[in-house]
This record gives sequence, structure tokens and C-alpha cells, in this order.
Amino acid sequence: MPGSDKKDKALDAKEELLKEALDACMEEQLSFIPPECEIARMHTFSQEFREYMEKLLKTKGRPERRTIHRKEFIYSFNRVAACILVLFVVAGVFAGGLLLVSKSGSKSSTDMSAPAEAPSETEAEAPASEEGGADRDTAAGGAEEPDEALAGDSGEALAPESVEYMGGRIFLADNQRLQEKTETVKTLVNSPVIARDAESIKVTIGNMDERPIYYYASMDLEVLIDGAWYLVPPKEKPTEEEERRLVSLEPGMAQDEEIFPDNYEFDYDAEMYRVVTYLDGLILCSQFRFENPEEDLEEALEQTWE
Amino acid sequence: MLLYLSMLDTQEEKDKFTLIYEQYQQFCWYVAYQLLGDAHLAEDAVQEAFLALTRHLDKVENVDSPRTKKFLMTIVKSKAIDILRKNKAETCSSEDISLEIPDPSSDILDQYITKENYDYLISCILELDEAYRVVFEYKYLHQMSDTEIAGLLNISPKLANVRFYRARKKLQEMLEKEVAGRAGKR
Repeated sequence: MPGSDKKDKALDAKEELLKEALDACMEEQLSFIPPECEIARMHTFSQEFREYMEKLLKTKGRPERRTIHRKEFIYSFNRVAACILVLFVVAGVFAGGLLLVSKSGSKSSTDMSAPAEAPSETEAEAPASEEGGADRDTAAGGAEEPDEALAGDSGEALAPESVEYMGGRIFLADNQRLQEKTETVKTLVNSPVIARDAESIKVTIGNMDERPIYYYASMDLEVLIDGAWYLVPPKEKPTEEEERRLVSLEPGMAQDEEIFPDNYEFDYDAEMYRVVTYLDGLILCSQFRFENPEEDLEEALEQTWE
Repeated sequence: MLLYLSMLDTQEEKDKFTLIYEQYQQFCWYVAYQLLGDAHLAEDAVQEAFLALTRHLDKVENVDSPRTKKFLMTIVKSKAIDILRKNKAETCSSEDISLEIPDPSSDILDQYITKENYDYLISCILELDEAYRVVFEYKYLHQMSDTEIAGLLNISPKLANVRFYRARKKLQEMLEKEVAGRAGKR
């Protein structure tokens, strides 16, 4: 195909020429751009920009995706694990039922063959199937026992996935056991007992490390119910941008973040609350509870008596 | 496991990315500022450009090479144009609604791309709308595929293709005018 080859070569040559022209135009554009140092004198990048770029540079744009994925992954994983568990239970019940049916079936067939010398196959099958049916019922009933036992076990070992809270349902927190501090990082709520009419709850994050740390300004609030931590959803969800906002904390520095009670439904009588802070590869929490007027009254009375 | 493996980046890539940022951040801002005329919006464009760069680091062989500078310039320009389009939503929507590719038989741009017309070609490209020029730059200078271009422009591959053909048509019209003007002078 020499003709088409020629045509292709001609087209390549045209493309090459266009490429050359585009390159030349770009060179011309570039020639009007002052050197970096000169531009630096013209413009100072904003704090927001620097924070964003620090985050991007630190992990090449991956951490925000990783954090989102981690949450999504844990959530999806929990769902998948729950589905697998249900499947196992159903399969167990089914297998147990079948086993019992087959055992009783074989037992009844041997019983049937002994007294009757030559019963017809249909006659032999009929009572067997009836007994089998009865056995299946008992098998199903029997299978309920391990099922109940499992539920009982899980009830003791695992908290319910969701509970009623302030007229809605809230879900079990991803991480139940969290520490309040490490050797180098610490989070602290302004007071372990917060006034019911507090306008904000301050969380202080302290960096005692020798290197800067990064944390997500968006924090989670969790409530302790029957010994398990549940995530309290905010009334107004943070935007994606707010969720992704990373704050850099220099060595030896502390930073205050705020949680606004107006944005949450609080059960003031709840045993305990905690604020969960997501740092680089680390999740810390700081606990608090709301003041109890009755307790305060008792204390005041005690003081008066004394 | 794959999930985690996909997140792993080599230290070499991270170093490369940091070097590019340190070396070209001001340059990128200036390019964006020239198009947007707003310092804050220019910063947004630079952020977007560097985020896009994380997905195309393989295109950067040598941080110091002029090719890298040109590649960054194209990305920043396209991100700045993106911001301009968003700010002028009505213009954008009217253009993007029609996804018709210009008739390929009417595409005779190649006929005008000759060595004799080279100077005209240069002046036409310089006058060409930046939105069209970046498509050419991605395609011819940086040798990117339609899908890659679509990803960088945040549009569908079909729309990227439409823009490419519109860019060709526009350049063709401009060259036709130039060549006809020259013939008239003679």
C-alpha cells in the first residue's frame, strides 16, 4: 500500500508542522513570563493555599482519598461482614435441618423395614416423609436454639449496630477503643463537665512532637450508650471541603477547635460523650459529659450541711 | 490488599512532585493570573493543576526540562479556563449542549498547514482562543489520548473530541482568512 503510506507520511508531516508551530507559540508565551523570584515578589500565596499544598505535597494528593476510603471501607466492610454472618447462620440452620432430616429419615426407614417384610415403596415412603416432616419441624425448632444462643452471645459480646437516640437511630462508631493521647499528641475538651447551655465545646489539640502534625478540622461526636460508643450525626453535615480541611500543627503548638452544640441533638443525661479527632494515621478522643443539676444541688446541700 | 497497593506511591514520585511544586509554583500562579486576572482564583487554578498533575506524573521525565514547564503551563491554562467557564456558566452550557462534531469532510485544515503558511499558522495559533489551544497542546505537544484530555478538562471524551474538532475548524477558518488576505494583497 505505497499510496496510503505516502498519505500517512504527508499527514504525519502536517501534524509535525502543527506541533512545531504550537511549540513555537508556547515558547513565545513563555518568553513573556518573568522569572520565579520576580513573580514571588508580586504575589504571596494565601494561608489556605499553603495548607492545601502542604497536604498535597505530604502525600501526593492521596490522604484525603484514603481517609474517605477508610471510612467507606470500614462501613462497607461492616455491612459485608454482617451479610456473611447472616449467610452463615442461615446456612447453618439449613444444614442442621437437613442433617436432622436425613438422620431421622434413615432411622425411620430402618424402623419401617424391620416390622414389615415387604411393604410397597410408596407405603414406606409416606410415613417416612410424614415423620420427616415432623422432624423437620423439630429440626427447625432445634435450630432455633443455636440461633438464639448466637444472638445471646452476640448480645453479650457485641453492642447493637444501632440504637434509639433522641427520636432517631444512631449507629455504632467505627472505633470503640480509642486513646486520649499518645506520647506526643494530646486532645482535650475544655472541661470534662460541660454546662448544658454552653455555646461551644472547645477541643484543644496539642503537638508535643518534634515534627509538625496534621489533623482534620472536621471532628466526630460520639455518645456512650450501654457501654458502646455511637456516632451522633450533626444536624448540618459538613461540606466535602470542610471534611477535607487539614490543619497543620507545628511542634510545641496547640490549636483549639470548636464543636457547636446547636448542631447536634444532645441527651444531657447520657453517661458520656467524646469528640473524635482524626490525625495522621491516628485517631484520638477526648471525653466529656454534661452537668447534672441534681448532682450539683446535692453537692451544694452537702457543702451547706458541712 | 489491592486497595492499599493502589494507594502506594514511590518515594521517587513524591520527591518529583515536591520538586515540581517548589520549582514552578510561582510560574503556575502567574500563568493562571494572566488568564483569570484574580489572585485568589489563580491560586484555585494552581491547586487544581497540581492535583491533576498527581495523576499524570508519568508524563514528567525530567523536572528541569522545558517540556515539564510547557506541560504545567497547559494544565494550569486548562484549569484556569475551567474556572472561567464555571464563572460564565451560561456561555459554557450553550457551547456544551451541542455535541455535534463538525462535518469531517469539511475539515481541510491539513491543506493549509504547509511550510509556506508557517508564519500564518503561528499568528493564527497565537490568536486562537486559549480553550482551543490547550486542546491542541494536550493532543499534539503532550501526546495525550482523548480519554486523558477529557480527564484533565473534566469533560466527557465525546465533548473532548468535539472541542478538538471545533479547534481544528476554528484554526482552519482563521488560516483561510489569512491566506485569502495574502492572495488579495497580491
